[in-house]
Amino acid sequence: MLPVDLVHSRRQKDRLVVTPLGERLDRAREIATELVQIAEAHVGRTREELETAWRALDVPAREIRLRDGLIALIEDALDLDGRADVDAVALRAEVFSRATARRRSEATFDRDAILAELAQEKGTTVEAIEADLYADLRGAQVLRAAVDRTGAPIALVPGGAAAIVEGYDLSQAQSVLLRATRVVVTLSETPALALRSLLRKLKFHRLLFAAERAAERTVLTIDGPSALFESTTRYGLALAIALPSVLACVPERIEADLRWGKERLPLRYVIEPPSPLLAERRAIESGLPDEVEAVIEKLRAKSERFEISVADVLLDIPGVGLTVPDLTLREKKTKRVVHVEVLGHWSRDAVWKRVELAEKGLPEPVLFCASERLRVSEAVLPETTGASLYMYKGALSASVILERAERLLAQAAAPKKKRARSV
Amino acid sequence: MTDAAKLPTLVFRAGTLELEGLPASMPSPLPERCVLDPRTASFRAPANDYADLLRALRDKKIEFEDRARAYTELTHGPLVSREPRPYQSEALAAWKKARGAGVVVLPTGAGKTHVAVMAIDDKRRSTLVVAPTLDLVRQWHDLLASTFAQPIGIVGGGEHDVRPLTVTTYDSAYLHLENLGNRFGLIVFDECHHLPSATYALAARHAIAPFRLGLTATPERMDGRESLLEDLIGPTVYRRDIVELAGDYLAEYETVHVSVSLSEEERREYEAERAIYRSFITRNAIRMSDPKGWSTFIMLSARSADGRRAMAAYRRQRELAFSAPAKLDYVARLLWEHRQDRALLFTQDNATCYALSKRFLIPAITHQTKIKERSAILRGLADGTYCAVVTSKVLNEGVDVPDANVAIVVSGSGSVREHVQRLGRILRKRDGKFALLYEIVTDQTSESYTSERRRDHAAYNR
Repeated sequence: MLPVDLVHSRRQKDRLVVTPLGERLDRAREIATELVQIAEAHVGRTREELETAWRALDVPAREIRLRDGLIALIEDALDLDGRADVDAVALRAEVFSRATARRRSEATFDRDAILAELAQEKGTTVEAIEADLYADLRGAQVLRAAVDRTGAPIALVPGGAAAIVEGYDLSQAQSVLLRATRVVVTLSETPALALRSLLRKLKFHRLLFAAERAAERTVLTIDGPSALFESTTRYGLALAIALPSVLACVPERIEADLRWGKERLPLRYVIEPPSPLLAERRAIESGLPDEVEAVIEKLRAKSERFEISVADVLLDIPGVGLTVPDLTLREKKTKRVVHVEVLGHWSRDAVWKRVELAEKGLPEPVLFCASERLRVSEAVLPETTGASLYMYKGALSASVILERAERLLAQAAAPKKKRARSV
Repeated sequence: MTDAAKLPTLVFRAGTLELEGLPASMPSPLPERCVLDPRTASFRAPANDYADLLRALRDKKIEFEDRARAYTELTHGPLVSREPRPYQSEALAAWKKARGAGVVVLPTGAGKTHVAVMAIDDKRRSTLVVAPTLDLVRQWHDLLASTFAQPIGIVGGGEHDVRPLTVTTYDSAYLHLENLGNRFGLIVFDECHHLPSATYALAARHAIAPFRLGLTATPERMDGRESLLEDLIGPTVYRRDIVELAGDYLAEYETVHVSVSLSEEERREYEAERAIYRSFITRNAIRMSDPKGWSTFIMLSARSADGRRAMAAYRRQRELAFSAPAKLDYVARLLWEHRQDRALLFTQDNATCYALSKRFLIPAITHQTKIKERSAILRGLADGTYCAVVTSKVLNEGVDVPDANVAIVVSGSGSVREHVQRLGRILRKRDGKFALLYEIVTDQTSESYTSERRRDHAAYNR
């Protein structure tokens, strides 16, 4: 990730404006190409030599930050390691203990004589001893050639200069989010898979969100548990890591509250069109869970009554939660639907939350599927709630899903306690 | 769902306390910071309000299930005990009187660690010790292992082993207490003046420990955030200064201020470089006394050739002041004079530290030195393999170097705390020990002013 101080930004009232590469794209490619070439010419040499060579690449003052940012990203991709041929720790112990002994026992302290004596004993030179003394420091690390698993040489920087430049704007945005206290994402017509991927990412990083629906849009406010008590950048790294998943939802707008600079100035950072980060629909990170993939064709093969499709709805009950079903079973004759969400075996807590969700009233029938390993009784969720719990052993059964879906539709005529929103 | 699930439950969740199952509309009987979180439809409080929350729930006779607490009672106290010094007993009594939550201020070498051992013994709860460096973690680990005769956990430095007695760094505590914050009933914050920084403070907030002990020689911070210690740990419950304990419980000492001069040629170069630097900051109206002065200088200096020259000039004049040849000659003389002693040399930066190591052939300890080598170097200093060790900042605080009796401050910042801590490194009492601190300053340079600022403490004005 780009160090925060290398982000190309300026303040505009209460906004932090980050300058994308934009018109500097070609220039960035030129600089990155030169930097990668310099790195390639420094394989086998030290980090200090490489960094000196990089900094010697003369660019106009206005491009220094760009050059240094590209250096940081390229350096991240390189394999720099300590010298294996020198045991610097042992050498230091030997040199320094001998020097102490001499200092105590002789009339004067003769540094050169001590080093010369050691060099002679080791069959080397004083210069070599001096060079090896701190060969394990960061600056003395050596740039290694890149190889694949079989040992065959590969590109030193994966994807070359082009990949570095391509990732530059995303890196800038992620670095800014390191200083974020919360992020507000405005979504519309979001692909369910992308949203599911985002929610999983948020959960994994222990982020929390509040979902609100305004007109045709869903607004997610993302921060962490203790953000309720104080504005903290504690979740900045998690928010930065979640950014690619947020972008995969193709949001209309991303708004981050920041504490910027040493003074921790409250600023706002906005990503909105025509930001290059929103320019194109990105690949969705993860597809359907394996167990859902496995059952979907079986459902299609077995069912005459239902059309089976990947779900594209979002079920939200304010104050309770939001969930994204995996599949939708649509009755061909009536067009009534039953959604299926597979919770798998990862969280018993998630099952209880769904029970709570169903008790508050779901807009459409949902069948929740969870592994028996979670040790929850199916009885905790009576079908009169408009939802059902299917605790499966091993793999999901298409027959059971279809049978439960039919029962839920039969129950659907019963009056609801409270309607929630389907987004 | 079972009946038990219907009882309100208190759960530790990512550094906070979640109280589930209370009706949202109930008239709030809870502490001010326990509020309804609409994101999860539960009440939420910062983890460090655990004790207050429990008291409030019990006062209101609200039945609940406490699933938050995951700490245990220790099976036994210390197997090795020694008679505390009078002020250590006073400190413990004051801490207990404050419900086991407060800060004890004692000078380096006065045995703060023993106060912590007494506190652990008193409360007998799973305990986490948080220290600023890996050296200190190692030191605490060894001390607790030998005192309590049980395996001690370590979190940090590549290890993640959590036990009823565990030691960690502030960096790791900040990262991990979000998950481990309910596993300890007592937390000892060593060198607790580090805690009030914006990030480290979360380590205290994410923990439920009702008992907290802060230890430091110098709670005061340049940014004034020491006032947060009361909320994060508790009030200052006991305080003693170096001058009150010197002689009886700390080694007698003397501080020697040495001025060295630049040669005529160096002086000319110093003045010329300083003029270039000064001219740039004057032209750009940068006030270095302003908290933003330095960052403004860095920013502006990168934007033009003039600026880059000014930065080079700044570095050169600083190098001339910090590493003046006359200064290094004096260091050589002191190393020779004290070749039978144990000396610690202090520098302001790593580059000077390594330069002195190479020039005088003495071991260096910086943040880059791996813990195994650091331990070997400190052992070598103790057993006489080495007569001196040079360090930049890592030995400023905490690390126990009981045999060191000479400190040579080659360069440093204007921080009073840093200077007092450096003195503290050589004050641990030994029979007949007399400690000497030399401060070598290049005369008529910016270093003279820096030196004046850092000596503004009673320990230097005896």
